[in-house]
Amino acid sequence: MNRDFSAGVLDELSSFAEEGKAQEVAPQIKVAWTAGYLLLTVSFGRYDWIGTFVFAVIPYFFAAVTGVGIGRLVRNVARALPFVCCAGIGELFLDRASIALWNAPDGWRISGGVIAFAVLLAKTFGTVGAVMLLTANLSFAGLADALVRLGIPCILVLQIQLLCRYLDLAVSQFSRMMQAYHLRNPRCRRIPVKDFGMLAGQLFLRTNERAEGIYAAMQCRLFHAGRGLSRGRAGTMREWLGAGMLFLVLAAGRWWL
Amino acid sequence: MHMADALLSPAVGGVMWMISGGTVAYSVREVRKNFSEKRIPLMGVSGAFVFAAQMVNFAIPGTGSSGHIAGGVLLAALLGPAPGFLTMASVLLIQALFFADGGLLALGGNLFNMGFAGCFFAYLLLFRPLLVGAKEPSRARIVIASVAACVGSMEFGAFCVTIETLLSGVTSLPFGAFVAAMLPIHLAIGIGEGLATGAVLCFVRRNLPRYEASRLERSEHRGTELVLTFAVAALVAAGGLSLLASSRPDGLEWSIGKVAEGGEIAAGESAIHAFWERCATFFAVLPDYAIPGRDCWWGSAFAGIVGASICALFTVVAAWVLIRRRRHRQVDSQI
Repeated sequence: MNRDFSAGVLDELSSFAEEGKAQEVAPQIKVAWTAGYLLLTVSFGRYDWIGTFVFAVIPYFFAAVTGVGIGRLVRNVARALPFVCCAGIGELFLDRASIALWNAPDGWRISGGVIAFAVLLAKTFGTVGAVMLLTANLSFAGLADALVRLGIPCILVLQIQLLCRYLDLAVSQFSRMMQAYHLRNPRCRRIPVKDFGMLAGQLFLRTNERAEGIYAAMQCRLFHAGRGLSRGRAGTMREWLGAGMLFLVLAAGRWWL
Repeated sequence: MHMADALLSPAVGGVMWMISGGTVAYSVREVRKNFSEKRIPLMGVSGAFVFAAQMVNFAIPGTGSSGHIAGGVLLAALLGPAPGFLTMASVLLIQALFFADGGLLALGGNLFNMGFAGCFFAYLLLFRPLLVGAKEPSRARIVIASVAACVGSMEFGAFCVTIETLLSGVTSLPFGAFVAAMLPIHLAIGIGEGLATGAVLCFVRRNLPRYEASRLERSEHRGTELVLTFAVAALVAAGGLSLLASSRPDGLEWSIGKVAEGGEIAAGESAIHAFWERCATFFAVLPDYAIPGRDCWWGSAFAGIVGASICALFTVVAAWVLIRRRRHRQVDSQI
């Protein structure tokens, strides 16, 4: 739990993009476009390496264009790689089929497992990169607007917003409790397992007490959970047309590759 | 247990989105029905708690692997199944969007594997029945129920991961080896999660008994709603999931094929065999889960829906007959 969850950490995560045209596009268009890209990318077969590699590059191209930074995207993708590697590394040993690298009659042949593993990695780079690009180009409030516009129930969107607020509370409470524990037990380097249940329970109850206080303060400022959330601005016809055209180009690329 | 987008095919991802989306819709309706603003901070805090707990990995001795808790059982025990499921949905969405933990397309699958498995499957089938009957359940009983529910939830979720990955066709690992790799690891994680869940629940119950799910939960499931829920689930399974079914022979057919060498055991030549074969041909309106004479992709889905409907009809008729008989007996005994 070494990540510092300040109140605006998610907005920090989503404010890497430079101010530009990509930031101005309505959030729900970005979400819909990303969903379309994900579907097209994962629809490639296990040996379709050319198409997968081409599609995997697309988020990084947009990251460079919008000023998000390719390195930042790659670092985020690296977090998802271990599980995918564990799932895919077996392919190297189990899939011994000999596959031609391209359709030419004298094309190089290579083990199917190697291609399947490479395709899996490329898909991971593409899909995770696309989601990271989406969040980098979208403020947290924008994301909530997009979810409401896409028909996600308000109670769920509210829950997502509050979760982030209370995450900050829980982490600050946790650090206070750890500090208090070590002050009372200066010789104790590691907390004994038998104390974990009590500490976790204390953490939960104290965080909940503070959360109730904060919620009461929000209510004093006329917040009411039953009221519908803001829907943000709708995308213009021009934005939808632009996103649609871009998606058609991708779909054509998927069909051609 | 978080699955990445790359590990799922669009068909499997789409079906899991539909199933999880339906469960979210059901949960939203349940929460709205018993809506109380006082529960909102508790839902937020519980979500934050599970989010933070999922970041703490613990090593599993001997396996070289590590795992994290899912938290579904804890959420269901503190909030009730429907609010717990919604909380889990928000946790998984934030993890997928901001922390590259699980994919957006795989969100449906992840929500089913961790949310449905913990909040509905394990909580309703294991946790609650194990605590039923005790007005003041002892600490040991709470811990046992937590461990049983967490183990059930993790094993169910891990099995679902295996099925979803294999149906997506992204791995060549045989089913048996995949299951053998997944289930023991998650058994250990489940026991660890169960002990942690039990400890937290005991502490919360001792200090703030009003947070017990049994007292918080006020939702009452009406019979018609349950019937409708199961009917929709049966239709999705029969009409949607059946399209993903393997065309390879099942275990019995495969064994018979090996034994008989020719593929099928020859039918007996006696009159009895011939009679039953004619009966089977007459009654089998959709042989091999397909429409006779038509080679269409939706044949298995159609056969699945027809089969599920016939089963439901038989069950309803049998239940109606049994209920009528019981009523007659009650009337006779009163006379």
